[in-house]
Amino acid sequence: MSFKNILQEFSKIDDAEMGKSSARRDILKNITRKVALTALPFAIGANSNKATAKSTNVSIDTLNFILSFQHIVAEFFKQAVSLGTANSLFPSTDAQQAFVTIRNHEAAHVKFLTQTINAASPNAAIPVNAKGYDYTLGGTLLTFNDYKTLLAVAQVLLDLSVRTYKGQIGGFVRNPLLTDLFSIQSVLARNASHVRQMRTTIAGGSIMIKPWITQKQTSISNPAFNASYAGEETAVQYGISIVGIGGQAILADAATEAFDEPLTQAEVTTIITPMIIT
Amino acid sequence: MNKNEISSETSPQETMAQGFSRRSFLGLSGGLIAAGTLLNASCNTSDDNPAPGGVLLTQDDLGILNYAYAMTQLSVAYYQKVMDAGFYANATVQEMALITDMKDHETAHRELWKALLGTKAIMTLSFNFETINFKDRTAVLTTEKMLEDLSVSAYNGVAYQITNPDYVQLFSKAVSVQARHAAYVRDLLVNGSFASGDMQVDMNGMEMAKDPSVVLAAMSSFITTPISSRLP
Repeated sequence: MSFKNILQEFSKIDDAEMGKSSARRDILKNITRKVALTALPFAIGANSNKATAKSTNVSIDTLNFILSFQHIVAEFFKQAVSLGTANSLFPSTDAQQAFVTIRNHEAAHVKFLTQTINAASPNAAIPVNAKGYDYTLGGTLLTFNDYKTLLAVAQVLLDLSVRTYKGQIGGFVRNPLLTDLFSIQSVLARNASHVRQMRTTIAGGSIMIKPWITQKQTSISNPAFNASYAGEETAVQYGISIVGIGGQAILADAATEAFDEPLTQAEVTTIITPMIIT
Repeated sequence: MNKNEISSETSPQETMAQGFSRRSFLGLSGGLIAAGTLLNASCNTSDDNPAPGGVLLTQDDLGILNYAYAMTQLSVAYYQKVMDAGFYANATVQEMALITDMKDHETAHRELWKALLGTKAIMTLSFNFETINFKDRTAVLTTEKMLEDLSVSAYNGVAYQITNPDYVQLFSKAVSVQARHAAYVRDLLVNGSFASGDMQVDMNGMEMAKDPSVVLAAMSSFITTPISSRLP
């Protein structure tokens, strides 16, 4: 059972049922929090006409932050498929199809987050819309005209996605939405893994870009992307050094590869702000 | 939610605050799981003893860590077997390097879960991989794919039951690396199948999340040590 299924059930609740959650919202107004919280009603009992709403606290600000980032990635892959095809960038049908697969995932993530925010509080929460984005660093990158650059930017955005979700899950401990965020995050990581393999393929064996992140290596010469990997070199988890852990022969590179690292909202915002043009 | 399907002394709201059972939710919505599932999932059992010679996964954060510890024990044992067999026939240099990486990552995860558990860690498990021909590329990679997909679904499925936010974060840090593994192994079998081609990732771009009971059942064909689980 995913949250999206709950949403489908929620959509069946009539206005009268909706009214009942208002009292809960009043109570929540008195709860002091740093971020805006809203009542997220759950319809429980798929077979019942008298579906009653339960609530849990969900930070709409956090979901909207994730959505604002997810728009950037979704729009990139949308443009990548259309412009990449128009500009004959894809060297094979496989390559093009991989981008189509990823584009579809990213669009679905946008849709899911949008629906979640809509359903959480129809009166107050408005999902953020997509804006205009620049993926060329002010015209310095041939993102949609050069296949290698296209793959490099795709890799950065996907690795950054994984880190962005990771930075926000702390707000969803013991919340059913956590499962959905995990389920999106793992797909983003799969997509990142594949794009990294695509980069290795076009390098023709001259270099190997691993499906995972070693140290804080970008595998891209342009230093503009360094910030997206800063902190990935961490080899200590929960205060425990992973290098040689338990007497095992775990070297520094493997120790950093074994864990992807979160980025805070502020760190992500700094990285993505130059990409937002409207 | 039907109150009768929750513990009688617990109000629905309290149940929500404590985190509801995803499995029970599934059952209620699908009408598949009979009343009492939530009771089973939420009540402490008086039987805290594992089967003779076996291990017990308790229904708390320690049980969940031990669950992850058991999974990673299996993954490491499997990769070790692949390597001890000298890799499958015609493995490329790159494949051997990356499979070695994956074994190292799994080892790092295993040792971290073990370190967090301290004296509460379950024993070293025993395994049986006799059914696998370790010289056959397809056989080796197919099992590898199954184990990696299963690990991702396991972390995804159990994360919301964890109480300690630090453990949630550590599971998050580990599961995305598992997903990178899974995508790589899938691509070795069929290029482009990194996140498509079956039900592992659905039409909504979301990966399958599985309950421990489902994962443990899938792993049981390789694990010979009896595992008793109080996890859902």
